[in-house]
Amino acid sequence: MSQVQTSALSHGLAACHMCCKLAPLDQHHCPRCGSVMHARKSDSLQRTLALLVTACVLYIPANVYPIMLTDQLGSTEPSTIMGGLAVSIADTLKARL
Amino acid sequence: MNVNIACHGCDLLIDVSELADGSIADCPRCGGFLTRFRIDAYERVVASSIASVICLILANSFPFLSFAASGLESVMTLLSTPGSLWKHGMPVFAFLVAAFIIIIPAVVLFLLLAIAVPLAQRKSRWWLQPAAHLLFKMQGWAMVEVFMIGVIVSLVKIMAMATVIIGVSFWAYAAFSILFTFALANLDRYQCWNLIEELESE
Repeated sequence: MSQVQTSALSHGLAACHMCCKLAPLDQHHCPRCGSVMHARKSDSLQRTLALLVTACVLYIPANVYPIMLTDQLGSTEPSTIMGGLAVSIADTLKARL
Repeated sequence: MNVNIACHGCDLLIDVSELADGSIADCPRCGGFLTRFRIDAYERVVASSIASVICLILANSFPFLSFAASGLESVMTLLSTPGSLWKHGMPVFAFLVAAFIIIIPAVVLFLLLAIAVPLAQRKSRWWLQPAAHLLFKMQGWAMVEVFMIGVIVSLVKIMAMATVIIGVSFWAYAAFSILFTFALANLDRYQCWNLIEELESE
């Protein structure tokens, strides 16, 4: 495989996300499949950071509060993600013994 | 020099025109997967798609799970999953579940066959381009394996409260999830579009 150590963008090219076709960037649509083409995502770091911070914040209530309420004969039992994991490990150990 | 692919991860230009049968091209700079060339890729897609269709039909014709608790037994089929959500007043969820686990996988299978059968015979068909477009857009929305994991996770909880009998349909759907993934994995986006273009220009 011969290779050129340059990026597609430096040649004014971009790969289509739908069909992988390399096409000049000044055309806004892929010549093969007609999909919209763009070079880099705009504000990518800013978007990533914003979503990452939100995900970190939501991670806390997702693990602290119950994910499922089990209702059996009138008694309701809440369970968290980690609780479910603990139950399945305990059950496996019980079955082994 | 024939430069014909740009890495999706790092945008490096690479020539992948002379790949041997069965070989995989990875990006020399970032290691990301680029494409895999197989002469019999479309035969593989057709074979696993047909097997998936059979498993999906089986999965819809037999009981999925049966529960027995304090003398009461209830049998659940695959289609009753969205059905019972509908009955419990969650029509939006019912629609989404039906779409993700049955409707979209069935449409994706149909599209896979519509693309792979002519490509295996190296014949051009007018529907190849629109079908490939739709297929690559839809494939991310088929959540067969996600459903399978969800079922297994909730079984852990339910098994403590009732006796669970696993039906034929459960195994058929499990086989379907493996075959379906296999069918999709054998259709390489880059090779598929290149072949479509090649056949259309002939």
